[in-house]
Amino acid sequence: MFWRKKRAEKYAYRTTSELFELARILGVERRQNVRIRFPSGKLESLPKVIAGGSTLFVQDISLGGCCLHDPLELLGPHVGQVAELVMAWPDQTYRVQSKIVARIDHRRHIQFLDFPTDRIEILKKGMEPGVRAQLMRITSRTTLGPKIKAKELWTSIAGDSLQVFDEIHMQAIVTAHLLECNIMRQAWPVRADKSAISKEEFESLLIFLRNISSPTPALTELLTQLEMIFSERGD
Amino acid sequence: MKVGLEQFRPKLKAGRLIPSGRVVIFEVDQPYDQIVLPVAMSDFVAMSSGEFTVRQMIENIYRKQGSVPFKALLDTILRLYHGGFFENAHELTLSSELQGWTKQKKRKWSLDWTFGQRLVSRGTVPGFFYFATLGLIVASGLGLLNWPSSTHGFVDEWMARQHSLWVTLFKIFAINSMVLTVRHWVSAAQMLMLKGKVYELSLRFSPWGIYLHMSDENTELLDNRLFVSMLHLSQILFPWALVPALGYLEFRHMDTLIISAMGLTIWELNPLANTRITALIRSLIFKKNDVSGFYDFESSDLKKQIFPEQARSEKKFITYSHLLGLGWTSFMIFGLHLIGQDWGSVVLNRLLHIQDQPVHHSLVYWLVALSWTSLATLCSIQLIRSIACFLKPTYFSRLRPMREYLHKRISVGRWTKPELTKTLSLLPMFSEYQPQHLSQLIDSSTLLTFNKGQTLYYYGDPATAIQILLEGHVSVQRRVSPQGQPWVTHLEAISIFGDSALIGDQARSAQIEATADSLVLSVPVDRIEQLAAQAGVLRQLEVYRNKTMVTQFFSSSPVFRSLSPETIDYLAKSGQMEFYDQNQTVFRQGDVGDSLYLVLRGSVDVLMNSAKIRELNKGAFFGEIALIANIPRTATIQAREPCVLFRITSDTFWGILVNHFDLGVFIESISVERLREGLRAIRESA
Repeated sequence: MFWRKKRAEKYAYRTTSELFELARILGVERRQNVRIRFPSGKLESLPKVIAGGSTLFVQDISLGGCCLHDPLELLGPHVGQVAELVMAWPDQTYRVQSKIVARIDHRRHIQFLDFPTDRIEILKKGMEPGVRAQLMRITSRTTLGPKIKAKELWTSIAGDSLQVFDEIHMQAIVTAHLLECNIMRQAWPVRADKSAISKEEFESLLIFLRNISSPTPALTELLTQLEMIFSERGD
Repeated sequence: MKVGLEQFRPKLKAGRLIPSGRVVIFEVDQPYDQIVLPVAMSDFVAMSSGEFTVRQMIENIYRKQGSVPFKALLDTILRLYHGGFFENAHELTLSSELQGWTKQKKRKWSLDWTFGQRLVSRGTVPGFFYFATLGLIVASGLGLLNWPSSTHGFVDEWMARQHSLWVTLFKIFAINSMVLTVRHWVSAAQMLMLKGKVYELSLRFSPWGIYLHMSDENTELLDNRLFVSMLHLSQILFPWALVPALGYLEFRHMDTLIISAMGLTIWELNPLANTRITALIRSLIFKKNDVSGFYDFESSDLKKQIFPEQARSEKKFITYSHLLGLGWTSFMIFGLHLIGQDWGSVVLNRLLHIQDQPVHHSLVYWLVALSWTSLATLCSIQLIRSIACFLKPTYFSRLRPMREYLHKRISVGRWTKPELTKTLSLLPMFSEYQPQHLSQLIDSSTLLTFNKGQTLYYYGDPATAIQILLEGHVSVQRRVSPQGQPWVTHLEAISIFGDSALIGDQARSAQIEATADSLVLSVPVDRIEQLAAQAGVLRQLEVYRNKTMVTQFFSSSPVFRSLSPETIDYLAKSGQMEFYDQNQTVFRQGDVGDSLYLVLRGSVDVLMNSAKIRELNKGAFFGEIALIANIPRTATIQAREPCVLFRITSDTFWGILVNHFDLGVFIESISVERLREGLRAIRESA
C-alpha cells in the first residue's frame, strides 16, 4: 500500500532488514551476512542447534551460517562435509542441511544450505538486538571536558544508549529501540515504572549486551551477573 | 582570533553531562543553565574541551562510528553557540547561511524576557506532588461546578454590566495575567517537587496577558507517565481551582474571572490546536506506553531542531488531530441525540437563546459550536489560500489549472528571426556567437509546437538536437533505474533541455512531456559544432559541454539532487574533470586519499585484493569516506573503458562545509543511499 511504502522510505534504519544493512554498510560487520554472538542461557528467540542428539554450543550465528563448538566431532571431522543440523525453536523444529566450511580446534564454521525461508524473518527479529548493539560505542572522556554523570556512557547512531553506574544499587540503564530498563544489582531488570521486564525482553537485553563491541570490565561484569540471574530465575 | 567552523575549538563552560535515555542533558554550573541534546551527540559534548577542532572531532566521530550525523551535529553546535554554552564562542565566525540553519519561520505572538536562571529545591518530594496535584484537580473539578448553567445568558449579563470596551479589555487582560502567572508558578512548584529544579523562567508579554512563564522544555525531564498526565491535567483545569478560592476571598471581579477561565479551558479543549490535551489524547490513541513516546507528539521547537524526523511525524499527527476534530464533531452530534435534541439549526438557535438549560446541555452546545467554529476557520483559511492562488498563480502551486490557462496561448507569429536571434544571444551557450552565426543556426533549426500532454521525446530516442523552450512549460522525467520512480523537474520558458545530445549521448536519458501548450526550437548538434568552429568558440563550447556533463550528473543523481542549487554550483566550479583511458588506475588499495570521484562518463571496476567486486557506471560516485577522514583507500579503482571523472578534494569539501552545511548532510545521506541501493538489490534478487 502506498502509505506503507512511504513510511519505509522515510524511516530508514527502522526495520530489521534495514538495520542489518546499516550494520554492514557502516563496517561493523564486513561479511555478507551480519553475525551476532550468542549469550549463554536457555534462549527462546534464537534456535537451539542439535546434532547427533546433542545440543551444541553456538558461538555466533548469522543468516548464512553459524559457528558451533563440536569437541566430540558429531558433525564429522572433514571440511566440506555436509551434515544435517536440527534447529529447534520453541514452536517448531527444522532439519537444515549444512556444510562445514572451516574448522579451528573444536570450532566448526557452518554454512546453511537450505535454511527454512519462513524462519528467516524470525531469526532476523531474534538477532536484531545484537545487531543494534554492534553499533554501540563508548563515549570518549577528556580531562578538561564536561564530567559525565555515569561511570560509562555507550551510545549509537541509531539513538540507543547504555549507562553503567558505579553505585550501590543502580548498575545500568539501557535504552535500546523498544527496550528500556533499569538494572539494579542482583535483581531482575525493571522498566522505568518499576514493573519487571518480560522474559523475552530479558533475552533481548542479554543478546544486546553480549554483542557490544570491545566491552569494558564493568560491562562484562554486568553481563555475567545478568546471565546468572536469567539462568536462575528465567524458568 | 576569529576562525571558521572547521577550525573552531569548542570549549564548553564547566558543567556535567547527564544521560537520560535517548537524550543527554548538559548542565552548566555558572550561570545555572541546561540544554537537552540527542544522545548521539554525547561524544561531541564530551570532547568539547578546547583541545580539538570541529574538523578533528568529526574525523574522530567518523572513525569511531563509521558515520557522522552532520545535521544533528550542526544543530547541536548552533544551539550551544546561541545558548551561550561555549566559553570561547567569540572565536567562532558563523556565516549567515549557517546562522540561518536552525532559525524557523514561526509566528510569534509574544515576547519573552528570560531570567536565564534556574530554581533549585533541596530535594524531590514526588509523594507530596501526587497528593497536592490530586487536590488541585479535585479543587478544579469543584470550581467547574461554577460553570454557568446558561452560558449565553451569563455572557449577556456580564456584557450588559460593562460600561466601557477598553476597561473591559483591560480587566480581562489583568485577570488573564494573574491566572496565567499563578498557573505557571504552580507548575514551577510542581516541577520542583518532582525534579528539584526548574529552568528558563521568563516574563512573557503577550496580547492576552503579561505573566511569568515556565518553558515547556522543563517537562522533558519528567520520566513518569502518571505524573506527566497529572501535571498536564491539573494545568489545563487550573483556572477553575482559582474560582472557589477567590470566591471565598470575595473577589470583586468573579464574573470576569469565570469568563477568563472559560476562555482558557475552551482553548485547551480545542481539538484543532496542538495543546497539551490534544498531545495527551494522541499519545493515548497511539498507545505509547513510555513517557518519551508522549513527548514524541508534543509540539516543541527543541524536538524540531534535534529530532527533525520526529518533527516530520509530528506534522502527520497534527493532521490526525484534525481528523480528531471531525470525530469530535460527530461525537457532539451523537451527544445531542443522547440528550434528546436535534442538531443543525436547533443547536444554533439554542446557542443564541439558551435559557435555564442544565449545565451539561449547555456544555454540549458550546462544544458543538467550538468544533464547528474550528472547522469553519479551516475552511476559511483554505478559501483565502485559493483566492491568493487565483491572484498570484506564479507563487502558489495549488491552482495549477489557472497557471496553465495563463500560459495557454502561444503566439508562434511573435517569434520572428530577429527575435529568435536576440533570445539565443542571451543564452550562455550562444553568448559568444556572432549574429550571423546565430542566424545560420536558426535557419538550420526547426520551430515545433506541442499541445499539453504531448510527449516531446521518450527514453532511448536518438539524441541529435538540443531544444530551447520558448513558450509554455515542460516536465523532464529521469529514471535512476528502470524500475524506479522517475524524478520529475519542471522547466519554464526560456530554458535549454536535451543538451545531453551535445555531450555525445546516443540516446535520450529523459522523457519530456509538455505540461502546457509549448513552443520549442530544435537545434541540431552537428550544426552547432560546425558553427562553433567557424565562429572560433570551440573552447567555450567545450567548457559548456563539461559544465553540462557535471550539471547533468548532479540533476540525475538522486542523492545530489537534495543539495541546494548554490552548493551544486559551487561544487561544479570547485571540482575538476579528469580523463582516464581504459585499464588506467584511478587509485590503488592502501593509498591515502583525499577526494571524492563522480563518474560522469564511462565505467570503472572496483577491485579488492586484485579481485573485481563491483562495477560502477555513469552516475555513480566513490571515495566519499576520504572527504571526512584521510584513511587508506579500501579498494583499487580501474577504468573499465575510457571515462570521465569529476574530482572533489577534501579541502574543497571543508571549504564548502563552512558555508553550505547541506553538503555535510549530503555525506550523511550517502550512507542512507548506499543502504537503499543495498535494499533495492536485495529486493530485486528476491
